[in-house]
Amino acid sequence: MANIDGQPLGGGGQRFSALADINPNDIESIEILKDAAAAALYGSRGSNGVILITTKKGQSGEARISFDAYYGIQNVSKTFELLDGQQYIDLVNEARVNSGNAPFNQLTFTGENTNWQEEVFRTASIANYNISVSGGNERLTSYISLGYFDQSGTLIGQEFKRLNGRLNLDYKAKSWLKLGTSTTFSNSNTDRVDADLSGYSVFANALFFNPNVPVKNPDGSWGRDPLQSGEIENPVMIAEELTHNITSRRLISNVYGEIQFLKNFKFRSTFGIDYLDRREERFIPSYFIKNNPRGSASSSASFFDEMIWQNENTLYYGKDIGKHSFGALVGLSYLESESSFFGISGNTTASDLITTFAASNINPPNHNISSWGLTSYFGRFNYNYDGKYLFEVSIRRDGSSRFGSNHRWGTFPSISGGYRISAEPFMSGLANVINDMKVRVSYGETGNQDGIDNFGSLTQYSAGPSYNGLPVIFKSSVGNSDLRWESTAATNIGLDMAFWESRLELTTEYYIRSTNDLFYTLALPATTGFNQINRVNLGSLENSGVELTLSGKILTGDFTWTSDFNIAFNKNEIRDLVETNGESDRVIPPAGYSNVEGPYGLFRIGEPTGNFYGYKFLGVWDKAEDIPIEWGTRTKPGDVIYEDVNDSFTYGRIDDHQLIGNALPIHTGGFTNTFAYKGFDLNIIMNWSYGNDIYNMTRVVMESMSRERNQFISTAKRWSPDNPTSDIPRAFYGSSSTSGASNNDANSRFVEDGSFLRIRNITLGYNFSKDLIQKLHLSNLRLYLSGQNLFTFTDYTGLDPENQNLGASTGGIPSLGVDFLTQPIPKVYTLGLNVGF
Amino acid sequence: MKSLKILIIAGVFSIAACDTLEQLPVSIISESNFYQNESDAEAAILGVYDRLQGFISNNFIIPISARADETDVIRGGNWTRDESFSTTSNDGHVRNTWDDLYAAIGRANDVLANVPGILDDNFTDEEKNKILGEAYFIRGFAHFHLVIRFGKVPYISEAFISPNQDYQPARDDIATVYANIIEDLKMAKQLMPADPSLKVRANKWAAAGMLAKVYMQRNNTGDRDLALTEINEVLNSQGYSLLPSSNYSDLFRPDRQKTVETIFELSYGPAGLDDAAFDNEFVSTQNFRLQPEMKIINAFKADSALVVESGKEEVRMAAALEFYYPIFNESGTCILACNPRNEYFIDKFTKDDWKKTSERAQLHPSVIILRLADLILLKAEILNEKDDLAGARTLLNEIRERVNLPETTATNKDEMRLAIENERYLELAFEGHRYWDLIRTNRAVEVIKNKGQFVPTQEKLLWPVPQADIDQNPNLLPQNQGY
Repeated sequence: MANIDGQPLGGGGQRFSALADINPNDIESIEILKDAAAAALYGSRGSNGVILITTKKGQSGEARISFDAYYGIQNVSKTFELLDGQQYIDLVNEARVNSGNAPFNQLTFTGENTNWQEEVFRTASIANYNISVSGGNERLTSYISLGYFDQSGTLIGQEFKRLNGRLNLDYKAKSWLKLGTSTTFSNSNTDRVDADLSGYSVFANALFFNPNVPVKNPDGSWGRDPLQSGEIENPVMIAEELTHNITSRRLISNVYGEIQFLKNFKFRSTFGIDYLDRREERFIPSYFIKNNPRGSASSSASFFDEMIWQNENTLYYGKDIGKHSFGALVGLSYLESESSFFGISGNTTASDLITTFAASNINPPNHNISSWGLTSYFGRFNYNYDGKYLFEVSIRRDGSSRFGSNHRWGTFPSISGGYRISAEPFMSGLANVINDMKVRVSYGETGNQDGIDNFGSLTQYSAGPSYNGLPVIFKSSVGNSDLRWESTAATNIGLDMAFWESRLELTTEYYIRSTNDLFYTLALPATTGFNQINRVNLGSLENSGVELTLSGKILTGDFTWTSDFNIAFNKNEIRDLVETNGESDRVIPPAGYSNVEGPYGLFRIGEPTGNFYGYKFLGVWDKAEDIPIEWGTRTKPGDVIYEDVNDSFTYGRIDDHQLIGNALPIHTGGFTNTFAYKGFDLNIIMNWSYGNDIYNMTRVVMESMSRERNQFISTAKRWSPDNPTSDIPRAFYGSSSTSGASNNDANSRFVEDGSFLRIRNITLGYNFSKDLIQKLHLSNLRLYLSGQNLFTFTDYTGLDPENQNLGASTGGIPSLGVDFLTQPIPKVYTLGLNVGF
Repeated sequence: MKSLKILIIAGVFSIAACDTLEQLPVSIISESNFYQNESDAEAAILGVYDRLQGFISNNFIIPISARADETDVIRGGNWTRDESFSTTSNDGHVRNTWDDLYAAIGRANDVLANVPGILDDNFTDEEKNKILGEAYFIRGFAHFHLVIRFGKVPYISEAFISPNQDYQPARDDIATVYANIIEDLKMAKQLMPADPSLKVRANKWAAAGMLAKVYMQRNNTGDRDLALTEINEVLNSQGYSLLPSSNYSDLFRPDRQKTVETIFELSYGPAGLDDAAFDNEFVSTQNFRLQPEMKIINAFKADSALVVESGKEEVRMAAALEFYYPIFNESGTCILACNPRNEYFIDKFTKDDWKKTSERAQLHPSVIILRLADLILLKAEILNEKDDLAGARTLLNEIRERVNLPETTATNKDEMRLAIENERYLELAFEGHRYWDLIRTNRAVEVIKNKGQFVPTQEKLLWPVPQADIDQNPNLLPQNQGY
């Protein structure tokens, strides 16, 4: 959960990132609360950690004006090597013939050899401008800013623009009364292109499209697929002619009042809103082949708005008696969201000139009003003796409207203690070596109610279009009145040490975090009449691990060098699963994309998540004589050999699938070094991941040789009677499920080592000297040059080894470590300027 | 004083807050609000018919005609695999058939579980029974189409209401499934009104007719007699009659359907109000995937010659097949009916409409599930098997005369059996009967083999259970033989 100045942000998830509407220049600090005791006060939504964003406040004194700007360019660092025009035709027609189909005689070699990736990727600009003024007096301080951000995507047709304004105000109205606000608005415009294989992905079509076709014909018309199947379209045409815009307007604001009374009491109340208005328009011109009916344009529009309000009231009591200091807090908070969605789509044969919704054939529109709410009570007590002994206990009760009335409330306690050993007299002898040493222990529980439909625990009936012209109502989902809060119980033990007057600091942490009553989308057999139950509580999962952070001021003086190093080891294990008919294993089929299969997942007690299951690839049959007769006549030379675990001479998922990889790394970490000399500073950030596998589903599409798509250059070395020793199977058009499994079913051929080391950022900055800036009447002046993602060291053959997670599949669980036509993250070079007046 | 002021302010803040936990759904109906009155029950039963549309549109006729000697597949992997009897358990249409039929069964069970408890004074027992009867009818009908396609299937007679329920049923024996189907259809027959004007909703005669079809397909000893009783009841009801030759094509014309000959047809109209459309893969467009086989074209042509010889008007071939006319755009590119394998395409349920639309899935006819000609020919078949050759001949000739054909030339039981089979082949062409006829008479392997293209095995006449459901329910194992 993200929380900005106390206001929880709505939305999130895949649909729209709340953080995209915040101006990073306004952010003073971001705190990530990972241990459960710290997150406990955000209990209802703190299960997956809490991100606390604090924005800049005004400070009393003379007004400070600062102007920040950067401009940069972005490039993709790598593209794929594909077949050329003749190789493409040879492959497709060979595949056709191998599957007993006639070759496509529409395919002709033109010598064009269009490099579609070059046509769709570009050097894109990124620019950010921000001006802020902060200042005030004893009673009133303010921070005002205005920012503009404009980023083009590395694919043509992608653009994001955002305008932000902010007002932060703190007003000491009376000696006992403080008031203030944190308010921001934003307006953003996104020009989108489709991703994955969905709809009209520019990137996917650039990989697939026939290289014999020119971008444009001599007469100025778009080059089109001679096969006219509609499966593949000219990617440049898609980028330029298909309209897909999202406009989002957001207001996030809260007002607080704080009252001090009876000396030790403080009452604080905040009221905040997060209002989002989002509209989306899409238009596909009439000449796109797949439009139905053909020859008509299709358009859609949707409007969504959501208003979340929150009111939080806390009463705080704090008292110091000698070296003892006590604090106690009680509070209650209310939150409510109300949203409305209206979407409509249709098609028209009238014109391609109007790209807004002007359809003549309208599909039934979708109108949905929804709401949810939370009510929470919480209390906390903390005690501190001279900074040596620290103790805190808290409890929180949360109710969510999303659960059935029997399970609405969850209780989430936490307890934590700290002991500063370095404050003990017996440590004083070591003080010049160890200047700080603290042991921390905490235990806390937090809850989760995200990911449940607002009325997901109810059995629902929906109104359908009609039968014979009369209205229809049917049961659209089966509820789960037993649905409970998902909760996380975390134990953390930490040791923090600082040596030699904090020249070297070490933080170590061991944690066990178990998530209980896991939310899971229960896939149902169709015999129930339903596909799934949106959410059930399935079992528990445990993460445990060690995190180590070491930071050192290695050199001080004129030339300084500071270094931060962190490494994290995490182990993941499924501890408990609900049994169904004596079976607790849950097979998680890969997310479905037509004719592209990803790895199967498996939830099994004692195993980690992120496992890939599939066939073990052993090679390709070289010649007919090699194939044992038991395989029958359907297995041909050039077909793959998988391990036939049960020697049944047929491949089946249940008997022959085995563990072929795991998406979770053994360790991840980062290494940051900063050097400074006089006005110059150099900052280098690296991060890595080690020991994780990636299922390269891009290769499944691009090496499957089963459709009229262009393929990777590797397929030029495919099996053929002339190349019988190849390890790449033969081309086969359509489905080739001979002997129970096809050449491209989930198998170890597509599993690759996903370890990488990346130089994430290098920044070289220069702060102009005091003399110069004073002459210019400035308070500071800094120029910097920075490069992001300049180098990546990896054996992974895809475009990017990082962040390869596919959307949710069955069970609502994302397929970890699956690379599927993901647009690579770009290299970014920026030149920036900070000026303070 | 100051403290008091502060406390008042604090109090105001706390009171201002209210209960945020009671949220009322606006855009959905919750369980507790539904099944309150007659119109709820009415909307719910229409929802059951609505859920049959997907199956009837996509899989009731098409894959079955591809398997039989009715249609050739031009393109489409699923249909191609059906035609060549290499269907796999991952084929989308196999899964859709399974899913769609069980979803309709689920809705029928929901009606059966909830409608009896509705307390509404205006909701008479008669009206309630009609709705319950329709739910029994569809539950039986859907299981029938499951058992003939998949063999052993779970018979689902309980509504699914909670994840705590056992949702992984095993497959019931074929005999059990049939017994349950028959029980459901008998209940339906008993509860539904004997009102022949009900066409797009089932009535008593639809249940009787379906019972006859079920008995014939089960084909146990004595089943023919049971079927005969049901057919006679329908025939004696006087509610239905064969359309005259002049109106024969009305059966399939969206603007003239719901004829006196139809006992039950599933509605896809009116266009604009119903989101579902008949996904006609036969329509003569660039996207068409199936064409009539030469065998059926030649059979139609032979009949047609007889009609023309007698100087009458040919109506049956004209209703079933249409000459293809390639259509070219201004620049001379063929845009419709390009590259056919032969000069005909299938015109049932599309009469004239194909000329107006360039795409399939835009048509809103009714699809005939049961019509009188089917029952008359079944009766002829039964009589012939009971050695009542004269009775069989009368009925067969009734069907032939109505389409201006001369009387049958069959003179003995074997000839008559073949003549009736052939009559059904043409009269009911492309309506989803041929394949099941061949299966129940145990002639499928032989007849399909004789096409000379594909050789099915007895095992492959059934579809495999979809793998997707086995993944969610291992109790469905073992898979059908041969898969």
